[in-house]
Amino acid sequence: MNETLQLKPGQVQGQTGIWEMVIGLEIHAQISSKSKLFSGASASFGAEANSNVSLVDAAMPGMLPVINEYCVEQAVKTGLALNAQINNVSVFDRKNYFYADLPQGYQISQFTKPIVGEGEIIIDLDDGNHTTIGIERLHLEQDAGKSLHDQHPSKSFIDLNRTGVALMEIVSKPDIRSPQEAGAYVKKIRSILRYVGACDGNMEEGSLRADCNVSVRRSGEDFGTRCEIKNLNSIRFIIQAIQSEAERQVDILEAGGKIDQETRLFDTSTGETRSMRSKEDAHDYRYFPDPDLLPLELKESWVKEIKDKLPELPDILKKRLIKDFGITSYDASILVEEKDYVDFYQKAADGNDGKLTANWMITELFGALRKENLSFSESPISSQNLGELVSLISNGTISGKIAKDVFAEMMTNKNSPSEIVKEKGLEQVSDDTAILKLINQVISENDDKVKDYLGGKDKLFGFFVGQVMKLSQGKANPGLVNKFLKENLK
Amino acid sequence: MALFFLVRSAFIIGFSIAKVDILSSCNNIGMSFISRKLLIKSRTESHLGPKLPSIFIGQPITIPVMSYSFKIIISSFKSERIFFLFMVRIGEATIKLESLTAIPSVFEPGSIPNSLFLGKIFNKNSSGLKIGIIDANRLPNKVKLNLWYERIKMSNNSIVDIPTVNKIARLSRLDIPEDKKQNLTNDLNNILGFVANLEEVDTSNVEPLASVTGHKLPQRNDEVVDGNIEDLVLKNAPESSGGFFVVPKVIE
Amino acid sequence: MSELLKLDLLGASKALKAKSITSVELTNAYLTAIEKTSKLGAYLEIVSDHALEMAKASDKRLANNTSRALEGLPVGVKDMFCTKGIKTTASSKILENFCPPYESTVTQNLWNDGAVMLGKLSCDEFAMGSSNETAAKGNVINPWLKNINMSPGGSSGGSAAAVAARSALAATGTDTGGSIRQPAAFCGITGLKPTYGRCSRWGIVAFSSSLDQAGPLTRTVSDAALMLNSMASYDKKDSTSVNSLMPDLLSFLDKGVKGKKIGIPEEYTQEGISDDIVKFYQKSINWLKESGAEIIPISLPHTKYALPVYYIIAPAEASSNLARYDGVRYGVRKEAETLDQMYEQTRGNGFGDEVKRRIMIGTYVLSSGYYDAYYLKAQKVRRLIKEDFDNVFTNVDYILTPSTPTTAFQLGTKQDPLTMYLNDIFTVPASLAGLPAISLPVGLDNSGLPIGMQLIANAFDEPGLISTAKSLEQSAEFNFIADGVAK
Repeated sequence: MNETLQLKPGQVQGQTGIWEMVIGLEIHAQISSKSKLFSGASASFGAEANSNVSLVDAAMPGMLPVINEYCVEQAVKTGLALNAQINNVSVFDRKNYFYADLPQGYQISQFTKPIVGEGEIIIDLDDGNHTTIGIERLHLEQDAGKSLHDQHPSKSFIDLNRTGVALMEIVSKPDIRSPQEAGAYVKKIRSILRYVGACDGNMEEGSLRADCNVSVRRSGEDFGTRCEIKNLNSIRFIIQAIQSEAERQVDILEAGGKIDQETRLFDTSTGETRSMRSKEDAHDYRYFPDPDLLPLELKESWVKEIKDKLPELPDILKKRLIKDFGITSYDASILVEEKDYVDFYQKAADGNDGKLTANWMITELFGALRKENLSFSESPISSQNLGELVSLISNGTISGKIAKDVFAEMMTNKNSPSEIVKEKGLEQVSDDTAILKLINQVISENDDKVKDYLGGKDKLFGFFVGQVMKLSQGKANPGLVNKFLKENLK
Repeated sequence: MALFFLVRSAFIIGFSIAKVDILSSCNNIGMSFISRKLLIKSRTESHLGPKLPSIFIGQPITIPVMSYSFKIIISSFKSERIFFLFMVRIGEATIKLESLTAIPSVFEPGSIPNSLFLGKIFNKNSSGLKIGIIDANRLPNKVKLNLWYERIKMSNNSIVDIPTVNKIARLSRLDIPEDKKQNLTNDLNNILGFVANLEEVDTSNVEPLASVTGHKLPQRNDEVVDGNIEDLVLKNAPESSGGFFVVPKVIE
Repeated sequence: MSELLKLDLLGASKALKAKSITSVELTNAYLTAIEKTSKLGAYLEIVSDHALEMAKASDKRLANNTSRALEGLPVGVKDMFCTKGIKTTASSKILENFCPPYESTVTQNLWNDGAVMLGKLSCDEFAMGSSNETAAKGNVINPWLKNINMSPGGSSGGSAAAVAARSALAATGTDTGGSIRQPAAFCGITGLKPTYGRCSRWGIVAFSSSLDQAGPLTRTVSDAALMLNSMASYDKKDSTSVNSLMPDLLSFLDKGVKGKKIGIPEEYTQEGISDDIVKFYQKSINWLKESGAEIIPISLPHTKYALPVYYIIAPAEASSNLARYDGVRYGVRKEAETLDQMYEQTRGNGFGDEVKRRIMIGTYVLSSGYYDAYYLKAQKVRRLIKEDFDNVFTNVDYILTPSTPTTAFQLGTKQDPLTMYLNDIFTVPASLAGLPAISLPVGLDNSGLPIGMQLIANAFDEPGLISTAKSLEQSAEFNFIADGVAK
């Protein structure tokens, strides 16, 4: 169709009109505990096959689960950070199914009474708006092991290291309306998890994965049948997969077909989703309360203690940064993405111009790190040094332009900006007399140009500025140069 | 010639043994396998009253050997199945019949000892269980007859058929040989029928029992105190390689 | 040698400590007894070398007076307990080659107290059964009326038979719905199931987690007290283990029953119980009365639902607990092309019929659409059954019932699963409520088979249970010995 209307994010163009997406996300976050949820084996990543496995993880006869208090605490912390209801009594249920990476033949999870109930978070959209996404629940469950299917033509290899690692499953309400919103949602959840310290959010290593439930509908209609796309481990893939799945569903519906509720996988090479081999009874998990575990009871006082110890969360921090440092909402959003950024910023901006500091951090520092492929924690520039650089600009010691050179120098060595400026003699020249002298020199050497300028070629002003700057090796105070040039070019 | 059939029911069914005299059955455990000569007892419930042919009420009877068909007429009630349980012992031998339908049934002497005949009727309208008796000439002279019947209330949900059994076997990853499926289905039905009496308990305000001990879930500290026992973990594996468990390939 | 076998656990313990006998002598006597009674099929695995090693070590300790509570005493272990380095099969084909690299907490407690292990005892497969006829390696024969092949009961049939035949001085068993008490009754010995949570379940092959409990099978009540003292412990590795200190049960042996109230539940006195058992029930009531107890009629109104509740909950939990037996990490595997086929054939081949039946029932009652009507309902009725007991215990101290509705039956005569389930009718309620219960022999029936009576106490009142049982035992003066005993 030749619609010239711009599609909004989350809309799919069909033959008969526009369809809307309805998306819900189930995020699995590995709790960054030392040991597993129900066993004392290590939960660390990357160990040799089957070395982080206890007899309990291997489901030997007679083995029994014992719960890790730290994991319970992280779930409560996360629940509080999601503004959610903490359920003081929750129950662990067995989810029964057979698979080689599930030694017990069941996963210990929470079905009817999860530890955390309903909540909500606010996410920031690209266009600067916000929207609220509801949280359905958060529950604790065991992760499964890993199967390698591509090592041998007829055999699969099983590594149980990951079996039993603590996961928090965060289920959103189907409030998400576009792939971009989904991306923003995951980013926000990840940020919150890192803030409270419950999960490191490392999607490459698998600490954070998402299953997406996608359905489409025409505006105003009820929700359509949804499909689940499993195990997406990057925000980029999440966005791609949702878009591709929504389009697939629209094609089917437009052709008069029906959507089969099924589980699908995202093929990163083709950019499309495909159906998992369907297992007819795969969905009868026969949940029942795990008789090896009693109901989990939390004391009100304990939950309150945790609440009191919670770090300031992104949304609150954002408001405070705007208020205390006078930065824009946009800049604040970027800074609160990571607690580390905020800590860095607050130190750097201490006693400085908040906006300027923010600018240098977001535009210059982040840009430089991206270019050098460095992570934030690997930044060669410390908060102290960045702060110093900003104050040097603010107090006129160097110009903004020179500051960029200093900055580049700071990226390669760890010297403080003052040292660099001194070493290279980069101090700005702000002495009136000196500048006037330079100006007079330029004016006298460029008679003809002066005449042209005075004759109407206003653009030549820049030429004079440039000449003065060149003469001063860039150190002349640009503001003063401008001022005096204007005064003297008459 | 006298003909005695000794019939013994060997089943416990949800409702208690019927008693001719009283029905204070609420407190009965409901056991019924009594291996003594007994009167036919009938349950007397006020609103549901089966009528037994008089032949079965009273003292054990002596019946001449000949072909007999006994018809037991029961009043019909909705969604109720009646199990007739009896064992016919003829001389030393007893008869085993595993059919779930009993119309008509023929007993033959000299078959395997062990002994349960289970007859079932679905009552929609009618109500008869016809029991054919053997060719009289092959019978010894005396056989004692005693017939129990029990009535069980069963909800329709608890019937499983072979397709259902196949589904459950699949869910449980159990390979059941074809020739065992019918027996298994029968066994499962009997067991499910047996447990169906729970329906009559009023549990509208009762919480399920989560823990017998009543104490709280103990929690442990977050310490690595386990693992690094690959050898022990892999020791009993039927197949392992390079530190991995090996299984037939799974295609995803 | 036969003199040595005459000593019961307490007696042997005294003799060893008095140095009038040695553990090696005693252990050898039992090893010989095992050989002599091998036809009973009680043992699956006999560890003679290991036993003698342990006995020698015990003798050293006895010699230098560093002996512990069970020093030098030879016991048998039901094959549901994982024993390190020694085959543990749960009497099943699927585990026929399984050698655990760990020891169950309960048996470790026994070895820590100096006991000597004779071997692993047969049981019903995965502890599912009441006649020890479902063991993969074949039936166990009750030493009573041994020539007519009676069942020793189950699932701890091997343990009971061995103790009765004196091929073990004592044995461990597990009780889920009566699996210690019923075989104890059938074999004329004492069997004790403690309060749920008393003994750790860590390392015991799980059948029905909310019901399984380990306990001793012994010749006398005193022996049971001695064994349970060692077996019971708080175990952090078992989340359902209860941290409640159990006092020394031996100190309660002579407390008697004066002034104690014994409840007689009307629901347990029904038709269907053999006449002889009814007779001895009445005798037992009288004995207790004569010893100073007050007899109080009580009612446990939900008793008739106990068996149905049990046969929903136990199979449900079992269906999940047995899912781990899949041939991937241990046990016998049947090779196949696909993973699912491997599972189906491994399990179809490795599990016996009764186990498969229960797994199927369990899977069904948990499955979508049936969970509420079956499992959830059963858990609710279970609460009512427990409340019946809670109410009654505000009024009485102990409850007396027969242990079983009949005495031992012949092997092979109860083919029908349901009929078999009825054996547990008196033992199941206490299991559902998690209460401690003991069965002890009080007399013989007309055929010469032993009759057991059951006492049930309130949670954690093993001390009171022991005193009361001891009193009944003294009154009953059951001095009979099975004809199949090792001579």
